[in-house]
Amino acid sequence: MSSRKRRSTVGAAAAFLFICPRARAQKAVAVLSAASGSYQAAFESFEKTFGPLPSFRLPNERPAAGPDTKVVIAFGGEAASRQYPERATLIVCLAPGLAMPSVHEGPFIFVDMKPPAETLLRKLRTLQPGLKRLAVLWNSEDTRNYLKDLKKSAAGLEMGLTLVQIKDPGDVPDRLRALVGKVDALWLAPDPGLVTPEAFQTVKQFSWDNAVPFYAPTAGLVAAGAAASVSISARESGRQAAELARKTVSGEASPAIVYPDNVEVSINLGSSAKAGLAISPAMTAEAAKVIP
Amino acid sequence: MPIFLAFLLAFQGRAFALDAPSDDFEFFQKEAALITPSRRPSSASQSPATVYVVTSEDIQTSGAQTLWDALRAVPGVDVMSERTSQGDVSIRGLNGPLNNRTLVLLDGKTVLNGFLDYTDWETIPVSLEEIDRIEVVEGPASALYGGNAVNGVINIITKSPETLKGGVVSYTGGERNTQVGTALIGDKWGAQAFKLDLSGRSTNRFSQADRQASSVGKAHGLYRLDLPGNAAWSVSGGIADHDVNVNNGPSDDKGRTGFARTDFKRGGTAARFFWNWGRTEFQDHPIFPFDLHYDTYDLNLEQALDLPFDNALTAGGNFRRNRASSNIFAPGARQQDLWALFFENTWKPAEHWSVVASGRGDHHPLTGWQFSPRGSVIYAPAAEHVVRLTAASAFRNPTLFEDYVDLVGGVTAPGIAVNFHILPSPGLQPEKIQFFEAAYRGSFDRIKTAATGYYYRVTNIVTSPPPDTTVSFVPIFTINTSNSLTNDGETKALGGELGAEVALWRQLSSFANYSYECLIDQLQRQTTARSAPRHKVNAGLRLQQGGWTANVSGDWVGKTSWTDGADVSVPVYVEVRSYFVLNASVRYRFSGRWEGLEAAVSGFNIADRHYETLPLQSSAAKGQNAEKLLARWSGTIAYRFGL
Repeated sequence: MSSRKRRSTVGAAAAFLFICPRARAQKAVAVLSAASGSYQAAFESFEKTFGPLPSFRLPNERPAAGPDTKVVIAFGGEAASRQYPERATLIVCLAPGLAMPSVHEGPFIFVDMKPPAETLLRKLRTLQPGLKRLAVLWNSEDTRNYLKDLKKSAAGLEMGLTLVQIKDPGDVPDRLRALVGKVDALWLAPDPGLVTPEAFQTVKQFSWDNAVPFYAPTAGLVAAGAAASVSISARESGRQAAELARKTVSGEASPAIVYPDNVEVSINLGSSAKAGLAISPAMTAEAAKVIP
Repeated sequence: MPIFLAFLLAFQGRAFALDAPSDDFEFFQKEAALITPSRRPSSASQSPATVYVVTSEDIQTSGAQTLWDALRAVPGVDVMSERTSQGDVSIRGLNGPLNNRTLVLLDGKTVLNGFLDYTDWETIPVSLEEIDRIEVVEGPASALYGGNAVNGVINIITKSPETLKGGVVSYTGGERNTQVGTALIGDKWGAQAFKLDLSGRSTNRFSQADRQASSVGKAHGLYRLDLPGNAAWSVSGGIADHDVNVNNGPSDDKGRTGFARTDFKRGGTAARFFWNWGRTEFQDHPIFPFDLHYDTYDLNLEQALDLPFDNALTAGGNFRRNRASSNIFAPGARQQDLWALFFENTWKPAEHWSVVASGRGDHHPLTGWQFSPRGSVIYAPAAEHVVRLTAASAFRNPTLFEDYVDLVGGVTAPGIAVNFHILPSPGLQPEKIQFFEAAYRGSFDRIKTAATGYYYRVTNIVTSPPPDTTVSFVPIFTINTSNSLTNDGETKALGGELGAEVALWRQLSSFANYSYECLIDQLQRQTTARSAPRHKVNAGLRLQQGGWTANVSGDWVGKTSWTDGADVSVPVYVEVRSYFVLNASVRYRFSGRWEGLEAAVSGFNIADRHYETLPLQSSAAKGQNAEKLLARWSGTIAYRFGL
């Protein structure tokens, strides 16, 4: 940066101090869609890695980012759908319904909730060694790109994939009925339009009735009755976002979509048994969470 | 049996008690609330001009078979379907046959005919399947794009290889021998990406169903190499081999048009070179058969810079060589070199404010320098609410045809001869527009709204004055006329648009918009509308359920009146009545073992209301060649592969 440009930038920042005191000299700010649940857990993990920073919790607090803000970390889709300074990089995590920010016009990075495609399939194969035919239940058009990676990885692992797009959760029974006898397991993508209590219950019951293990996109859904999950925890999403924020502040580039590779396996032994899945002791020992 | 029981439980609506409480359902429910069907990206709201976006999904579900039909529902856009094979699209008035006041781009590159500067929509060398979106920028945009962006820009943006990641094969068959075939593929391997689009379309006329209206074969391809350091180089090209009826009579525009292009980008630096060409002939024309050859060479360089005090600047230069020849209109090759310098700066003086200033200086060998400024002040008091004020001016240079036409012709009958001579008009000045606009865009939960109001004044309109006439009696009674084009008169207009999109519920979305425009002091010559449609209303519903998508939309356009085009001295006005077009389509996407397969049925003008957008060719309207448009049903089968 030339000295003239530096002086001008400093001048602009100084002028801004009088306009927006809350945002002064903050290189990073965090915005949470809500003050609880996964958003709060991810934020706590973020702050542990990145250090303290100004944070705002919707809907009660109004986010304030100034012209010097280099990075805004949005926890959740609602936080990601706000307007931020165009030059700030928006890092988004826990927003499975968004493919790109709908308002922010500057650069962005997404921390995806899905594990890397190959990691997911390898872990599922470890959980279920006989897995050769996997049905993927998905809903959002934004998931298509991930499915491309999934297809490539499945080909490498000689695993057959049946991709089942379910545009309306009400269609789940019909779509499952067509899978009887054709697949060895089901994986539910973390698409918000599909992960409803009703759809979940239907898939779970199908799984138990037909001895087809059902893998969920989050550990919390394993507690709700899925056989297992290979997922990115909210805390890991927050930690990954912190790493990316550090890089961004120091001027390093990052890809637009990041799939965290630190996945965790959760197992529901009762549901697994009902779905005909025998979990090996080694796998049980490896799992981050085991529900009897 | 167990499966049956499971579904029975589901359908009986039993309480879906979970085995354990889970915050995760709450989480997904909250995230799902953000997904609302939309036809317009929110980012358009921050633009320094009014921008509407027609997405690929809009095109597919509308059942449109032509580009101009795909634009019907956009507020402020006037679509004249003059014939089965020809439409003219204008923005906020000023429409007419061979409209040259709207700049149409394909991925940012002009597609205007190099001789007449109009858009031959049938010969744009891409299939509807390849289009990712169409951005309609309303209002003058010469400050960025130079000449012809008088009342707006229509940018057709095609899908990237990454977006395609696979392809589609489709076939459409319909009434009046309508046949459309498309094969499209694209992918990216490592740093290399490519796409190839092959398509063909033929259809017969509405009015004479056994006669061909158009037959076009197209090819469009791209190769791109991503380079280290955020750089990329690409080369692309397209060609359209066409035979398009141009006057609802015996005359066809036959030939080939195409382009070759290369782009290089590295960070904020962009360089582009393209060559547009056309080799067409109108040899069946009953009065003066002719051919046209044109070449347009264009080099554009630009640089984006971040400047102090929250300024973001893009500046650059452009060189264009236009070269054209015709065996009859302007014998010999004619050539013009055009130069331009341009800039656009966005300044954000405060959190909710943006000021966008842009300007462009264009040099033309016959008209000298033209400067086109545009300024917008944008105020966004809340994330989803934007107010904007814009002032702009723009211009249209005379076309090569208007500068150099030198046409001699005549008609002889027993005892009488009528000769005419249209002389070159090298003294023509550019048409100019001054424009002011106030606009608002806002979102209220599931409702997106837009409202605009504008005023403009167009001066120096190129027109054909009454001819000089001489009469001689030897050897036979002979009338000799001669004239040249001139700049004459002005047009003013007041107008506005109101629009709303409503996501009624997850499966059902709707839109409605109303456009108003009142022309003041409209020039009344030739084929310019004496009074453009004052009122236009568009509305539609889209239902998506399972694999089904149903779309119904209606367009009502108020009456217009036109000169009959036969006599510029004593114009005769012909009224074109208001009309209503109702279109519908139903599409089904198969799943399971048939995943990728789609079937659709589309109806254009399904109420079969006979309408016209120009006066029909008749004894009362000798100079016009419009066609009465009827209903057309078609069916499509498509297979999408890859993902």
